[in-house]
Amino acid sequence: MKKLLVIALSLGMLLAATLAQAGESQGEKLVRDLWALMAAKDLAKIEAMTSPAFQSVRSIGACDKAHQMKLIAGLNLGPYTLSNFKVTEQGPVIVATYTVSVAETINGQRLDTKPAPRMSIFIKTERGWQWLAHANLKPVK
Amino acid sequence: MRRLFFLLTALCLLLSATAWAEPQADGEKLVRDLWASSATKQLANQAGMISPAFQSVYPSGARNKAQEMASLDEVTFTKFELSGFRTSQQGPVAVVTYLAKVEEMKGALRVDGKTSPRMSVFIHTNKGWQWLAHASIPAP
Repeated sequence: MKKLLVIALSLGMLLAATLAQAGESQGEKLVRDLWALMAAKDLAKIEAMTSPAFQSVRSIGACDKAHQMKLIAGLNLGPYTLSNFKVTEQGPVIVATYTVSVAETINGQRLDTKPAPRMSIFIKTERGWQWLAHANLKPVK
Repeated sequence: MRRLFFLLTALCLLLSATAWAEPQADGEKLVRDLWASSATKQLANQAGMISPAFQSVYPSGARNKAQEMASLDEVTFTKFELSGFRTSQQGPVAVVTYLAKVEEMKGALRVDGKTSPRMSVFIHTNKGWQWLAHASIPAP
């Protein structure tokens, strides 16, 4: 009986760990997919996966979905590295923080090349996961 | 009789739609309440209103709920001005962007910050609105 209890507990812990890992993987995958679309300038796919309620914030201020699409259209991404992912999940929402090393130019403004933190937030909807919010902590030069 | 049946069905549909609808967030109020409780160090109140899934991001990196609360405990806001609020909402999640100008004491050191953008994200749960995420952007 005791052996059975230990096995059941171990299985429960394994299942919980697997589920937690699945959540993390989903968040990291969503971020990596988003960056790949930005690098490929696939604006149609980015627009489709962006929530109408989207807002982002960076050192020059906040912007809505329409403004963000314009920024991405004018974005030239060099080679980039995404690292240091931390993903949390509550209900239909995933919060992902991570570090980005990239050489980028946004609307003619060259940004610092030092690694800087980002936050991306996604919400699960009837249309799948949508990009709801984003924070870019890279200072404008 | 048939008309009454349609009327009752419509009423039921309306009631169920209202019951399932997420409450509309007053983003500015949520943010102002949060800053007020931070300024008055009502950490017990804050603990209840911060989601276990909370994450924040600063130029120094990311923080979880425990790290954010420890950081708030170390800082004393002597003065703050909040402006330029924009709130959007999808389902149970409200995204609020705004500007903050903060004077704070970090230990004995007084820091007079420039106006800079912030983003606070809240989720509606059975405990009410909870603070889910926060970004503090460096001033340009």
